[in-house]
Amino acid sequence: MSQSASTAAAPSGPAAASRPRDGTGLLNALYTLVFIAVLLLVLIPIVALVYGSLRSAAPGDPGGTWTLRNYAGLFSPGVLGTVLVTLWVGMLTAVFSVVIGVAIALVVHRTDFRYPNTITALVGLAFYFPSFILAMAWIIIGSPGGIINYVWGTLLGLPGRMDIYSVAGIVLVMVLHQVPFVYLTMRGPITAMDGIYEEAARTAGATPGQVLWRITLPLLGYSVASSFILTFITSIEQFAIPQMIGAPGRIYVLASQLYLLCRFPPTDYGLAAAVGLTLSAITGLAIWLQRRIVGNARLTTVGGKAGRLAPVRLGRWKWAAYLLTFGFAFLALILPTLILIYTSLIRFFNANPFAARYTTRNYEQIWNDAGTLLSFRNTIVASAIAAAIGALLGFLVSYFTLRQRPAGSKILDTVSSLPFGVPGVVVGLGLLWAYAYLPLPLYGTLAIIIVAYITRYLPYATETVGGQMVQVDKSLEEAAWVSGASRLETLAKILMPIVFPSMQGAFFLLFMAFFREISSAVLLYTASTTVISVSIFGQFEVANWGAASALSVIATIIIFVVMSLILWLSPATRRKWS
Amino acid sequence: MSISVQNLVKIYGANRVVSGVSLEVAKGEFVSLLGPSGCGKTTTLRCIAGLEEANGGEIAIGGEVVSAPEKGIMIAPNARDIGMVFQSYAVWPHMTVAENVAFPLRIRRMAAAAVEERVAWALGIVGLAELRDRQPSQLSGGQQQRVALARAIVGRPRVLLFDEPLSNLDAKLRDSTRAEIRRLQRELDIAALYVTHDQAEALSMSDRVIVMDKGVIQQTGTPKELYRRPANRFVADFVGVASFLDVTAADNGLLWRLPDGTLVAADGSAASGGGRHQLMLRPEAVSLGAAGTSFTGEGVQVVNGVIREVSYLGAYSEYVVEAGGSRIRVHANDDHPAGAKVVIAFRAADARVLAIG
Amino acid sequence: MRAFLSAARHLSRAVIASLLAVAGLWQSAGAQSWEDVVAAARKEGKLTLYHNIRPAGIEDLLKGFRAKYPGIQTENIRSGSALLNERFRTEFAAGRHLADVMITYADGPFMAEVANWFVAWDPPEFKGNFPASARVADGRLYAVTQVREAIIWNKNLVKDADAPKEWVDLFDPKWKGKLAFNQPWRSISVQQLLAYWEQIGIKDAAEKMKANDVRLFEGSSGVIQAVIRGDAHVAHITDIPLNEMLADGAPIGFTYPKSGTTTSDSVVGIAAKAPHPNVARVFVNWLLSKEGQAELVKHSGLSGTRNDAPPLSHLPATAKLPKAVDGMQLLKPDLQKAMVEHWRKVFGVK
Repeated sequence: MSQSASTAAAPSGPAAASRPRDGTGLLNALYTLVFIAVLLLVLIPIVALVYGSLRSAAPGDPGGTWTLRNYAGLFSPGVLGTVLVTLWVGMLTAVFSVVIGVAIALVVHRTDFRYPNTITALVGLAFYFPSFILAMAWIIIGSPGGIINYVWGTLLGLPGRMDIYSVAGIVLVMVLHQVPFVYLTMRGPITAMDGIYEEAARTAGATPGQVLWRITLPLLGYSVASSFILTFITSIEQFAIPQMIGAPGRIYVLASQLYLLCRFPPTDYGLAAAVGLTLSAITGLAIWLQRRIVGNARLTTVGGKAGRLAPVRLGRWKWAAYLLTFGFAFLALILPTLILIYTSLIRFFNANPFAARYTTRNYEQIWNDAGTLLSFRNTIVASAIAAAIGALLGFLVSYFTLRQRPAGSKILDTVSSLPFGVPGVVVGLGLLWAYAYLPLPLYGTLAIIIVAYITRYLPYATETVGGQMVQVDKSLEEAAWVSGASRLETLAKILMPIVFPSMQGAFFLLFMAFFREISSAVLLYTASTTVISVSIFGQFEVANWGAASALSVIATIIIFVVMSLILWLSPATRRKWS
Repeated sequence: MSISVQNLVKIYGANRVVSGVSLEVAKGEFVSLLGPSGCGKTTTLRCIAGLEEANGGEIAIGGEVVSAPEKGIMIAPNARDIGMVFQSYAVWPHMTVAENVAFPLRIRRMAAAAVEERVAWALGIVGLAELRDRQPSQLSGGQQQRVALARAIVGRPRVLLFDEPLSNLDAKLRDSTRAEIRRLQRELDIAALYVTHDQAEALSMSDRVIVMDKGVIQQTGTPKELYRRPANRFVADFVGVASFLDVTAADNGLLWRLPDGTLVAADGSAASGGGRHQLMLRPEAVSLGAAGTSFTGEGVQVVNGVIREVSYLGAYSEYVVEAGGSRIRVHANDDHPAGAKVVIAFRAADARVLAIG
Repeated sequence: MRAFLSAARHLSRAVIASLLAVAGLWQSAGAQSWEDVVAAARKEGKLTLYHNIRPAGIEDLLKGFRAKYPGIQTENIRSGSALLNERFRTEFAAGRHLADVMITYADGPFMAEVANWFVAWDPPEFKGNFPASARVADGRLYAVTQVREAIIWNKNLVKDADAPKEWVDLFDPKWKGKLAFNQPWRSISVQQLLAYWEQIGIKDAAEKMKANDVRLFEGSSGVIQAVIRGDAHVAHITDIPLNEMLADGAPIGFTYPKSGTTTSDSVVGIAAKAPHPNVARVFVNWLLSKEGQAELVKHSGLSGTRNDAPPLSHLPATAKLPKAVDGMQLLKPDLQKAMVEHWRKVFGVK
């Protein structure tokens, strides 16, 4: 070895201390494990449903036989009518949500609107407002004897009555619930848009309105279409809102019909399974359409650099903008919260707060009720465990489908994105069928609820982590390989630390989602495994409004506290969401 | 031989990206792989590194066969004991500078004290000792590149591989870093294979240059050999700038006929028997004078011409002269207006005839 | 003669004494085995109860039980009787035995399975304190509370004089769109009333209700909340939540029609494969005790079935109603099935 006189000689120590181990074996084992786990998670409920749809008796009932009558039952006028209602409600909801959501996003991010941060925060909070709590609040607000009619009809003496127990009512509450999702998914594309095209249009003489219609919206076309389809899907999957608002008006959608078939005698689990598969087929088709439109582009809710275009001046339109944005926040978040607090503090419903009789007994009952406290504990435990497993699985699945791509990874990719198209009640029903037969003692335990949660949200976790993972340059991994690390070591020491912020984000996203989740738990819970959403729904079902409201208030407070905590503790997530 | 490649073949789908490439790099030698994008140079490098799996041929590093698909040998990149510097630096953002550089040693379970020593040495060599505790996000591009360099050498690898490491730096930084890399490589006396598309870079740094195009080696040689005596039109055109004039053989290859019939003497050593030929002239090898100027010297050929275009480039002016029925690019310091009648002159030895087609 | 009489007197005394002694022994032997049951219950330490008692009251009720038997944890699931029975059926069929005790309304299909689902036994508290009709299915079920069907209206929206007093008044077009009803396919007690309507000649009730734009709500609680809110002005309900609402001062008027009303007993039974059978026995026995019945009445807002159970605060006792008919006898399984299917068809459910 030649030495240079000008610099210190290289220390001679031992050369490589040991030959690097080839971690391929372990990595392959990990891949197999992940592959099997995902396959089982996703396929068990689906296969069980197909089985159930061909049976004539309830899950576990030894007297069942094979039959096609469940599929025949799909064509009965009752079910067909429900299909039409479901599609109609979904369509209306998607249209209004997209229009309002895009409008709000454009106002906040493309104009000189003065309170962008406030509205972003309010819309973000509205996103976390659970669907069943929103439905309950709006029933109190909009029912024939509710607040609106009281103020409009009794106080102001105006004619006409609002009736929330209608298709219009269902669509109203669904839109309030879905707009935040549209806003959050459109925010990224809108802020990332390069202002060049709009600038060119302006210099060519177009007015701001023309720029909006002819340039901006067409450019956003793919994002809007994608958002529309996804909103449509979440609308037809909805369980709590149509069940709570539709039932008194005898309006049923597929998700609530499925619930009825499993809960009220004469039950028909077989027909429920067939209905569930039908619903999944519709959503699956819509997902496929969305994927075709967007290609393989990953959904991001934030993104890119700000456009360079100078913001559009609102001028006199600013009052319309205030009405739109603050009006939405009021209807979707502030009013329901106030109503809930009010309802939780009165003995029985009175639309006139000055004449109502107040009490704190609802909150006392919660404190004293061991069942409710258990419910809170179950919710936190189940959500945390499911979120952690989900985030880890999301990471591993992303790695195997995006980076390493061993044989069969395409199958893994397809299977792990299937649950996108399967509604929560359907997953719950599938697991109910499956675990009536499988030897694992999961029924009646928190574990089966955790399994349902993970199954439903695996695609979201994979999407979130995958979104960051595709941006990690391959050379970062290759540099580790040539430095002597095996693939497994690279995965653990290089890749995982780098994408950890998105894993945290996935954990956060999943935890919040599970806290609010009701549709997958509503068929699976038992006395000891109730979760908060089910408790609230149960109280609602017996019209125990006071208790339901008090529980909702506390649950909402917990959600917001946890959310703030996570945002505050994790600067990466804060950046992501700010 | 530190690196020995024989008949390397790499196929992507229907494309033969690397088609029978053979090369050798001796210990302490600095060899560049030069060519346009898509020529297969990066693929060749990645096959040597083990980041791609070759389809045919044999690769040996330090005498040990690391890749021989026909014999079923394919050693993983982490077992090939190489150092590699990437175009994007690939400095890990979640580790400090020192941790980045220490990684290859820690992953091989070297004792902590020895690791410390080596890291200090590597950082010292690239001049980053005082930045050892910084995060990569706090470093400039040039500094990150030096971290990558330190990381590549810290393990005292058998060979150093470079994948266009300087293309993301600005021009001034490129020059100084080039010199750094060369100095380092000489000091460590280590074999280096350097992939680039920049011919100035290849010429200035290398002991030898290998020019590739379409998956095949076009010519191997010292920078001077490649520049002055290119084997074919591609190499001539890629390495440096040149004018090409169609010529036909006259007088049994002793003289060559220009398009307008003028006869000139030239270096015909690369001309094969039949087929088309072109005469290559480097612009700085051609002298320019006003009409009537006389040029003397051994083998000097003189042709009359007219100036068609002028570009003033400061250090010289570039003229496009129509002479001998062709357009010839000339670099000269004096001023001549466009349209002026001039005389160009060049030595026969500087005029190389190349076989075309 | 005198000797015979005196011998007879001595003999009878001896017989009585020995009978008493035996009875005493028997009782103490019985009491001892009950002590064993209680001891075993403490060891089991947990009760899982499926019931249809109103949610606001169940925790207080269970608290009373836990106060008497400390160390026993309680868990409960509350549902309407139809859902509750369905859940129990599904779990039993699948071999998942989670419930210890069930409190619910029994309909025909339920009764058909009682022999399989519940254990026959004789709680110490039963004898002498309940009417014989309270012991159902050979001791597998015991009646614990009773509800009756009533008509209610919102006093702020409807003057007492205008309010419906008879069942047929509910079909009056003046209540069109202002009438609330519990979904019949959900509630056994409603089905019993409908069977009674058939009997007293009220035909085509479903169609008439539909023509009156009836609003269907979730359970009697849903109905009464709807009336209080003013979503509906008048309604029929099972009087489960009525007492509590009246105690709260809600503006509700009520009546039990003179043409008659059906009564429905909630029954309690011990599940055949209960995980904690001894706790189950202790609990059921407590429910039937004087103390338990008092707690039950107080916290569930329903009438008790024990002979000396205290009356409700704001509602008349069953004995004081114009005409009360036992709903259980009316609801035959075929009739029930046909009726439910008919109503579901008329209202477009499934």
